[in-house]
Amino acid sequence: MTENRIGITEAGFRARRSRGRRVLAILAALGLAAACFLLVWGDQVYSIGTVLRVLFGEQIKGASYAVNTIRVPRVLVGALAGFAFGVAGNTFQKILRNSLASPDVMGVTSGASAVAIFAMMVLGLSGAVVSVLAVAGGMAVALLILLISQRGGFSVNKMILTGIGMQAMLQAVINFIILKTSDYNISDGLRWLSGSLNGVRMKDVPVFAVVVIVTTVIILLLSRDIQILGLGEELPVTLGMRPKLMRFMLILSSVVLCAVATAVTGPLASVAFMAGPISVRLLRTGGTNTLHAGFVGVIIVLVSEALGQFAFSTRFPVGVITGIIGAPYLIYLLLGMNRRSA
Amino acid sequence: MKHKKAWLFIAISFAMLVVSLVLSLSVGARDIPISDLIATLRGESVNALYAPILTKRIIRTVLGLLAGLALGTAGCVMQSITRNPIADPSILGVNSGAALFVVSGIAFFGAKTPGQYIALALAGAGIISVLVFGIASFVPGKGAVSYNNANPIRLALAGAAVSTACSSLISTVMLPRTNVTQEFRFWQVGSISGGTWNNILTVLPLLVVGMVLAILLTPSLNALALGDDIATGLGVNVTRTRALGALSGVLLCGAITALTGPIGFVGLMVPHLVRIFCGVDLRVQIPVSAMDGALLLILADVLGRYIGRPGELEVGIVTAFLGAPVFILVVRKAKVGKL
Repeated sequence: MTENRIGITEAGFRARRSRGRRVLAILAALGLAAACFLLVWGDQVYSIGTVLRVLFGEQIKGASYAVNTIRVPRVLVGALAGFAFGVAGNTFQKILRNSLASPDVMGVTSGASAVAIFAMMVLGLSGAVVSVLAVAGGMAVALLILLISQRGGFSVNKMILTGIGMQAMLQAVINFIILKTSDYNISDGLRWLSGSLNGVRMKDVPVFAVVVIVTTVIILLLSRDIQILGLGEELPVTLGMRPKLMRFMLILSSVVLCAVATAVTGPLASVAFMAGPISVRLLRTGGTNTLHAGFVGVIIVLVSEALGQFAFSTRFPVGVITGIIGAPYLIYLLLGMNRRSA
Repeated sequence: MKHKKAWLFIAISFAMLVVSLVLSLSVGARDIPISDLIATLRGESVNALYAPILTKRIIRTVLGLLAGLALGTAGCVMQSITRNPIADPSILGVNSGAALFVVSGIAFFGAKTPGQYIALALAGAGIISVLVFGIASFVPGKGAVSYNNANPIRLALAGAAVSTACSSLISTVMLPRTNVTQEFRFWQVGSISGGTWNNILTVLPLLVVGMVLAILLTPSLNALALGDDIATGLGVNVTRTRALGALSGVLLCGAITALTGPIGFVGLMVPHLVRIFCGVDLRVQIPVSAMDGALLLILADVLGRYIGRPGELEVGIVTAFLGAPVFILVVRKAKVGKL
């Protein structure tokens, strides 16, 4: 009898694990397909063969420039940013046990944006310095929110509301900088603020990639702790964890991820907040879904980029599209929560 | 004791309001000493520069006074009809709704005159606040909209969601059109520096209607604070009171937002402060909130002029910086409820 039950449990575990792997494979394939589409399609449509030949170093007039200088960085940065926002958002949501508690809802992205736009528009900086400053800004905001909501007993709701308040303040800063910027620079600033892959260059990629990979590995190594933190406030302590420390470490890594992505692409609205819940729906279990969330983020960003580039008569930056997709989803989530608690 | 404290608070507020009005006339890129100020106001010409500066500053001060009165009142009314400590136009997404409508108007319908801006902002503020409140309180399946469902956190999140949607839509409208960008970025930061008598006169009737409505509603709002059931038992038409209260709030916020752009947190901060000293009776709370709203706004504006020299720091930025910490304090004290 007992053995039979163990057998059933094991079978269930294997089924879930293989489902997890299948879903991951499908998501990765979809992401790759979107990337290929973006490499092939454009003002000038090249065949996959041409694109591959160019990628392997052959010089083809026109195609080499379009693919190597414009399309490849765009796809790489888009994918990295989508992955970063997806993983960061999912980690936040998991450890705070609330699908609304993502870095963009809570003002962390705004913190990074405010500092980055200040660095770019007022100080005239660019490149890696901006990234470092953006990470510092996002970190400062996240720490402040954590500190404020930690006092008098930690509560996720307090943390979310504190974040929303913080965001209102940071938004005022951003608007102020935009207001005082000279007319000449203004459209660049606005485009960056709405989240755009235009003008990204190959030299942005290496550092970005290294940061994303390192932090993702850290988060993956801690994924067991993520699962345990998701069980509640008391249980992790009983299980011999140090929830404050782990939460701090995980939030730190997530903040680094989304702040670096923000510095490169601008705040891509709603990606961080959509990716996690979608990947959970796809998996249908509460298992580890860090990578799944990352790939969902990649797909969201690349598909939105394709839509923004080719679906309308005007080209829209990718962040505008993700924002328009994200808002109804947020409202849908809210309505679902109303049902549960009513 | 409470009584004494309340009177003291009101007296101090009033005195400070008078001082702040004088400061608002005298402080700026070029300060005017008080003695010269009085002389110039009497019509003596002390310095040829003073008269034109003063004309500008008088308009600005009047606009600040009106905006503060309106926002203070609106915040108070909104908080009492929603029975929600963080109901404020900046949290409810009303500002971004107004902004979306104004931008669309500029882009698609060639809106140019202040009258058109005002109509658009009013429509946007109204529609979006109803939408946000609906989302926060709507329960799918039941279909019933119950006001008690909308606890602070849901309201704030619904506001944040709708704001995100609005700002994405604003970008879609704005990015292909640089001329709209130019017009709009000056409107996006709340400021009371750009007013004219004409514009003020255009919105004045709306403000008066909103204020009168708020004052007429105070007895019903007081009953409402006891709970819907008791209010109904006392003979108050709960739905009508809420609807009229919301109308008053939207008129006041929408009209002012149309003139000044979004000025956040005034309506949030002031009623909380007033409640500490004057208690919960709305017959006292609403007029005192109006007065203190004006005080806060004018002081914030003076502060912005003082800090931002030789230019100025727009008042919307100053109030955001003063207001966000207060918001966080309120959140920490309030029972924020569960999702």
